[in-house]
Amino acid sequence: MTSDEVWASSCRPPDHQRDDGDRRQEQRAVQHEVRGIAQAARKLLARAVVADGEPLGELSCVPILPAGDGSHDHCPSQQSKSGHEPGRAEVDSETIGQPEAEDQHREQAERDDRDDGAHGAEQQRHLARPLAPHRRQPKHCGGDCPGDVEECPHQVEEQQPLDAHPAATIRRVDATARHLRLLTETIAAVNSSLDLEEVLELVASKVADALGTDACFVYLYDERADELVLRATHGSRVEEMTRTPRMRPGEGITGVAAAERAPVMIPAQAHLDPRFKLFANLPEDEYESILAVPILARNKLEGALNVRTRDPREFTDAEIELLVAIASQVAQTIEHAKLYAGAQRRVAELEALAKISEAVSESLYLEESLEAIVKTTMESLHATGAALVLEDGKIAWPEGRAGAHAVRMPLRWKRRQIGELVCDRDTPFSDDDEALLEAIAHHAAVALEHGRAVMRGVLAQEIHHRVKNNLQAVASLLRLQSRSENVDPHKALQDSVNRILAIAAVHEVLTEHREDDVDLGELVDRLRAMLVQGLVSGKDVSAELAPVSLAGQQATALALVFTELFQNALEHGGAHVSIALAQRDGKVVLTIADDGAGIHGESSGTGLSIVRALVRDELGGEITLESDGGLRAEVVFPA
Amino acid sequence: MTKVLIAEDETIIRLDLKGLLEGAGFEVCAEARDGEEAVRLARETEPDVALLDVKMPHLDGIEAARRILDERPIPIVMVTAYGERELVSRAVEAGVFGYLVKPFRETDLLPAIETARARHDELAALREEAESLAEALAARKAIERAKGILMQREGLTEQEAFARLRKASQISGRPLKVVAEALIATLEPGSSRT
Repeated sequence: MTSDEVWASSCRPPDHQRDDGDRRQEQRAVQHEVRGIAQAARKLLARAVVADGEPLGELSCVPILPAGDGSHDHCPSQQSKSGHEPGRAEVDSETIGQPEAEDQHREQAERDDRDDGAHGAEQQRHLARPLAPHRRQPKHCGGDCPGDVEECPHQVEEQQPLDAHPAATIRRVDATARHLRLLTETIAAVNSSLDLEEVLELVASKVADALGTDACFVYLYDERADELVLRATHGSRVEEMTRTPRMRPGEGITGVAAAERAPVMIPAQAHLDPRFKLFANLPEDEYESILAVPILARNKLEGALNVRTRDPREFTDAEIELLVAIASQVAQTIEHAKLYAGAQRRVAELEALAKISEAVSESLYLEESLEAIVKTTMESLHATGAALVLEDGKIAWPEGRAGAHAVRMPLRWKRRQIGELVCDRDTPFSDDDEALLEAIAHHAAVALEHGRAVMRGVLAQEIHHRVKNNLQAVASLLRLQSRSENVDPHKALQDSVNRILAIAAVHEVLTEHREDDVDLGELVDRLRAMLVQGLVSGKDVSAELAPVSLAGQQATALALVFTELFQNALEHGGAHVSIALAQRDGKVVLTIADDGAGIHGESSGTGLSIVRALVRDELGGEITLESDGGLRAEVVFPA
Repeated sequence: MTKVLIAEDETIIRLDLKGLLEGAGFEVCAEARDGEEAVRLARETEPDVALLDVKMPHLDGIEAARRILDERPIPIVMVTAYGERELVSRAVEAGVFGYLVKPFRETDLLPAIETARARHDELAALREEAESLAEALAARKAIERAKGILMQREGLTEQEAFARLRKASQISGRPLKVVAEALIATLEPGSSRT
């Protein structure tokens, strides 16, 4: 693999992402169903309000409250921004006392609601338009809403002298009902997913909707680090996600809410509060107000969330209660999502380990096992890179690239470290991740040792076999020599030694070059030097060697043939011996000529019979001997 | 003279084997360089004994032995540098009678061949005996059956029935078994031959 291919392959979406797709589809189905139920509930609720709510609708708009009293309970205009009560909001401002119109609006709102999600924001904008002039309204809201007195829609109505008490009660009931509805709807939406990331995103957007705020930030509590980590935002983006804003409980306004396990509200100039903590990549100082609440599940801190508005805003007690209620429900959802994610992760981990076990036990080849281990490690840990580093420092199967975080897990075998599993990632590793890596490392150690043992066994067997076969060939050569008669014992031994050395020379060339083929020129040169060395008197040897290569066994045959013929020429020839190795018409031609007396009559002897057999059977060629002013031996065989 | 086929891919070793066998009074009728050639030459030259190397190109010695034995049972001795248990059991399964591990000595080779031949002859004798016993058993069964039929149909005693069968055999000049089978086929045509 080239490094480009390594990159390409590391960028390829791994299997788990396809699995994610399935899971998401599942979740979408669940979501769809939940949404259907939520809509049905919403319709029922709407119908109930319409049924006995018409006079209520009118009454709710009647200016009732004396300043400072029950002011928390209304401020419908603010809540109407949420888009959950668009019908009512418009009724308030435009169509007072016109039930038909109100119904129409309600239906319209319901249609809008059905579209949900994507249209939410647009819908919100659309609904905000008619309300815009009324948003900044003071006084009768108990001073919550700073702005012009004249612009408050309630202002006019409020001045009508009506009996405040029944109306206030009704308004309170109405506000409570609406908060209940907001709570129900928010929770239904948030519960529609089991994916933690998705849940947190939903929490951020739905809470912002429910309370009609400009932004909502959701923090999760990382117990191990004792930190609140920003996980989802609505309204404001974290500009650079490389450094996720995180703070300890007690740090920052939201941190204080988490530490004290109680809501913290600052109506205006929140960023000037001494508790405020600014993150470079999170533009929070644009917000005036903040309401932060802890997310508690059975008194256990799961996180914290806050809502922000650009304009100063005093959140009412009811709103605070609503947010606290939502947060406690969200805590359950987060717990479920965490459990679900944990279960999913366990499954993925087990799958990864099973995959590795299979690869290790099925494959006879170490390389394959190691490759599978590295690839599965990358996939199951969403790593940017992984590799196995062996004892000798050799890196096996490096994949991907380095990340911001890295874990090096030792591979141990019988209490001895035999290597390391290295895994890189841009996100930090959790305890679970490290436990999985440890398990993988254990498998890798087993695979390595297993593979090495197999290799040792196979290699040892092969070597033994070759050695025994070579010894057999040597024994056979000696036996062949011993059967020939009328030979000087000293010469017989010398010839035998030369033959054995000829075989050794082939192995020497083979081991030096670590190739399967032997260069004949080099081999012949070596043999010539070896044979000439033993001579007492000087001989003139000329050689012309073309580059020809042969496989191991044929090279051995040729070495023996050459040794016999050359030895013969040195012994019986004159002062000059010429050697030529050439390639002609796809055939190799080896010629050895001397200027001696030549041979007369039928040639015989152990050496020559070996040569004839080798040329015929091993080289598949022919040998010709010509006696013409010396002996000329020519061996021709296919290349 | 005993004819031997040798199959060995290494020329030197083959030359040595040939020399050894010829020195010991065998006739080397064929020299093969691989398994396929060994099977072909065994068919053409009909050797009395085959000496096969295990590791050979094209077809390994054990498979070659199996094919040679399928065509004609002869004593076969395997020669190999492997001393593996698994290989030995494979060779035995193929019907090989002897096993020689490289590097071998002259004194190992001849006894291995002799042992293989002796075992082969022994086995051949056993096979023959088993065959004749099976034949005898079949005859005995047929006769018993025929006797039973006669006893039932003619109301004869066992001895009388046997006497009648023997007489029929004597008159027709055919073995008792053939007579019995003919009788069963005639009187109980539906029944299969024993």
